[in-house]
Amino acid sequence: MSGTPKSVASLMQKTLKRQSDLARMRLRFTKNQVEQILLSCVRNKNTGPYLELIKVLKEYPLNEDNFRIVFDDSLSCVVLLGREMTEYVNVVCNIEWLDRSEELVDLYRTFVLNLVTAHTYHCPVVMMRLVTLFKEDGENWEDRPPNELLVKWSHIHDIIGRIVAIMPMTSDLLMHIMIDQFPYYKAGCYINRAYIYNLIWMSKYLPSLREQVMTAVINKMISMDVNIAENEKTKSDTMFDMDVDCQDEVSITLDYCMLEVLKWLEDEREPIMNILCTVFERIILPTYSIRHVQFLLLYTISINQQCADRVLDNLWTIAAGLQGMGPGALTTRKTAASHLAGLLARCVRVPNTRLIKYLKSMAEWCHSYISATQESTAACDNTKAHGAFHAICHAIFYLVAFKHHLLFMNKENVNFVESLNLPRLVTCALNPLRTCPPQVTRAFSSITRSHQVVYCQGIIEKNARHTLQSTAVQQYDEWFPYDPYNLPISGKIIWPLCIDYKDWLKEGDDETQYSSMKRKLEEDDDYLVMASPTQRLATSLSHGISPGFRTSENIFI
Amino acid sequence: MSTIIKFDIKELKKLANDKNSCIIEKKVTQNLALQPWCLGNLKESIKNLLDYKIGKFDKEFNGILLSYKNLRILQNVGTIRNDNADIHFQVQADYFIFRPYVGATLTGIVNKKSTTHLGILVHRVFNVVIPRPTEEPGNMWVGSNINEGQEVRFRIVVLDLYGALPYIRGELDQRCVKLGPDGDDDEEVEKKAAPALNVSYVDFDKTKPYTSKQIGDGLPHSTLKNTKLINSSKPQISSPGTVSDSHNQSVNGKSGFTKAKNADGEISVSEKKIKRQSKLLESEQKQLEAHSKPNKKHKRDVL
Repeated sequence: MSGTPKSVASLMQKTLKRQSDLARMRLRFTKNQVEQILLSCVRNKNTGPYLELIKVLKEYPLNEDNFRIVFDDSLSCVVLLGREMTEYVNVVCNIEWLDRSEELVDLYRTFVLNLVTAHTYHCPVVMMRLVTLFKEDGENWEDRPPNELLVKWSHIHDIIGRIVAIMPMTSDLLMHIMIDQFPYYKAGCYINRAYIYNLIWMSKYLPSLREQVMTAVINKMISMDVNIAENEKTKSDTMFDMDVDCQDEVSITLDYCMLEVLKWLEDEREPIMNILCTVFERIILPTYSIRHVQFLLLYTISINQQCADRVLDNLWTIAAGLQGMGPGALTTRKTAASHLAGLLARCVRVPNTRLIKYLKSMAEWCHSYISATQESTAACDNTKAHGAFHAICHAIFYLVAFKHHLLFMNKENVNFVESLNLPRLVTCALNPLRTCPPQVTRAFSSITRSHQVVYCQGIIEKNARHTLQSTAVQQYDEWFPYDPYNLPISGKIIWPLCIDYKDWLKEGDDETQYSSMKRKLEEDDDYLVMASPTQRLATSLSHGISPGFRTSENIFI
Repeated sequence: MSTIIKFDIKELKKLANDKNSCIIEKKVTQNLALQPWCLGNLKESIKNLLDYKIGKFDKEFNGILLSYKNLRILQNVGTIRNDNADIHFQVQADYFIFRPYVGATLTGIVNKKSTTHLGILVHRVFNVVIPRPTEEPGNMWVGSNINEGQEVRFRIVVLDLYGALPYIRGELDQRCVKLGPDGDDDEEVEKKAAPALNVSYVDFDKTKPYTSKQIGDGLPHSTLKNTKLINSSKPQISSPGTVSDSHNQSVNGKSGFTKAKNADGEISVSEKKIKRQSKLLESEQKQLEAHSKPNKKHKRDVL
C-alpha cells in the first residue's frame, strides 16, 4: 500500500502534464487578440491579460499560425511598445524564428526593423539577441559550413546589416556587443570558430568595422595562445612526449581560428593585410611568449612585399629605439628584436637583400653603441641598462647561426660577414655573449670558428667561470617567436612558408620543411622511424631541439 | 558613429552656421585627467580621450559631441592634485555639438517608412521617429504620403539623449508637408545641399553566403536571391527596399518611370552619372516629375 500515494502523485502529475500539452496544442491566438491585449494594457492599464500573454509566449513554442498572428499584431502596434513594454519586447525577440519558413523570417525581420526604428532604446536588446544566435551549438565543419547553417546566419547578418544601414549609430553598439558576447576561450572549438567566422563575415559587409573586428579576433586568439603556452610550461619536462593526439581543446580551437583568419587574409588580401600589420604592432608585438598568432604576420609578409617592408622597418625602428618619442620599453624592444630576427631567419619569402640590409644596419647600430659607451661603462655590467644592445646582438648571432648556409656560401658573402666586424661585438666590454641563450651561443661559435670569422671560445669559457662564481642562476631569454608552428590544420598553409633550421653538421639533408612535416603527419605513430640511430646522434650532437633552432622534426617527437 | 560616419569640418561648419540644424560650434576649455602611461604620447592620448566621447552625450556640453578641431593643450606641465594618480591638463578646442531641444524644428531624410511610423535620419546619423498618431481616426495621416528618401521637416516632441542611442521623437510639421512642390524654393535648395542618403558602408551583397566565402563555384541559393539584393553591385543608395527597386527600374528603362518618381527624393551617384550621360532621358524624366521640386533642384546642381 505504501506505493499508493506515490502513484497518485505521479498520476496527478501525468494528468497535469497532459493538460498542459493539450493546452499547448490548443493554444490559438485569434486575429488581433494580441493587439487588443497590448492596447488595453497601454490605454487602460489592464495588465492581467498582458502578463498572461508574456507567460504564454515564454513557455509555449508557437506554431506557424500563432507566430504569424503574434508578429502581425506586434507589428501593427509597434509604436506602443515603449519602455514600459520592455519585457514583452524581450520575450517576442526571443521567440525562435530562424528555423521557420522564408515568409515568417521576413515577418520577423520587418518587425525587428520597425521596432528598432520606432524605439531606439530597444536596440541593445535586439542586437544582443541577434548576436547570441551565433553562439548556438553545432558540429564543426571541414571546409566550409553546411549550407543550412549559412542560410540561417545570412538571415541574421541581413537583419544586422539593415539595422546598421538605417541607424548608423548602432555600429559602435554592435561592435561593443560582439566583443562582449565573445565565447569563453575554453567554451569549445565549434562555438569559437563559428563566432569568429561570423565576426569576419560581419566585417565584409561592414568594411569600416574591419579593424575593430581584427582587433577583437586577434585579442581572443592571443588569450588562447597564451593559455596553450602556459599549459606547455606546466608539463615542460614532458616536452619530448608531446604528441599530436594529446593536444588539448584550446589548441584545437586556436588551430581552427587560425584557419579562419588565414582564409580571411587570403580572401581579401590588401586591405586586411595592412590592418593586420597595424594590429600586430598594437597587440601582438607587446605580448610576450606566444607561439602561434604571430604566424599570421609571417603569412602576410610572405604574400605581400609591401607589408613585409613596412613590418620589418617598423620592427627595426622599435628595436633600435629610433622612433620619435623616447626609446620605448625595454621588453618591447627585445621582443621586436626577436621578431625581426625570427622573421628574417624563418620566412621563405624574405629576400636575401633584406637579410643583408638588416644585418648591416644592426651591426652598424651595435658598433656605434659600443663606441658611444666605451668610456662610461668600463666597470658597469648592468645588463638591464644595455638590454636593447644585448637583444640586437643576439639577433645578429642568431641570424648568422641560422643563415650560415647562405652567409658562408661564397667568397662574396663571407666578405660581407667579415665586414660586419663581429669580433668587436663579441669581445666588447658589454659582453653580449654572456646573456646570449646557450644554444645560440653554441651554434654561433661553432659556425664562426669553422669559417674562421670569430673565435668566441675564450669568452664563453670566461663567462662560464663567472657564472660558476655567482650563486644566482642565469636566466636566458629563450623565446623565439617563429619556432616551428605545431598546429596541424592551419599548419598546412603555414609550413610551406617557413624555413627549417639546417644544422651545418648535418649535411646533405635536402628535404624541405613542408615535405618532412607531411611525412611526419602520415607516419604519425611510427615513432621508431624517426628515432633512427643516425638521426638521434645528429640531434644529440647539434642540440637541434633547443629553442630557436627547433626543426619541424623534433616538434612532434 | 565615429567608425561608420565621419564628418568633415567643412560640412560641420556649414551646419553650425545654419540656425535650424541644432548644431553649434563652441570653444571650450576643459580639464582632462590623464593616466600616467598617457604621458608617453600626450597629444595622441588626449585625442583618444576626446575621440572616445564622440557620438555620446556629454554632460559638460549638454549635447552630443560630433567633432572637434583646433585642439590645444594649454599647459606645458600637468598638475597632480591631492594624492591622485591622474595628471590634469587644461585643453582647449572648438567642439561641434549637436544640442537638440524639445520644440526645435529639424529637417531630415526619411529612411524607413512603415504604416505605423516614419524613421528619419538627421545629419546622417541621428535617428528620429515620427509615430503615426494613434488617436486620429482613418487614414488621414500626412505621413503616409511621404516616401523613403524624401526630406521632411518636423518638430521635436520627446527627447532622451542619455541612452546608448539617443532617442528623439518628432512630430510632422503639417505646414511643411502640405507646402508641396511650389513652396519656398530657396529653403529647399539650402537643405538639399546635404548629400542624399547613402549607405555605402553596408554592402548587402556580402550578407549572403555565396559571396561570403571565396569558394569559386558560388553556390546559388535560389531562396536567398530576392530582388532586393540584386542591385547592390552599383553604388547603392538607401536601404534596399521598395525605393531602390524602383530606382533601379528607372535606370534600366522608361517603363519604370511612373514608379520611379516616388523615389526621386534621393539621388544616388550612379543616377547622377547616368543623367549626365543621357540628357534625353533626363528631359523626359523632368516632365514626368515636374511636381517634385527637390529633385529638380538637385539636378540643376549636377548639371
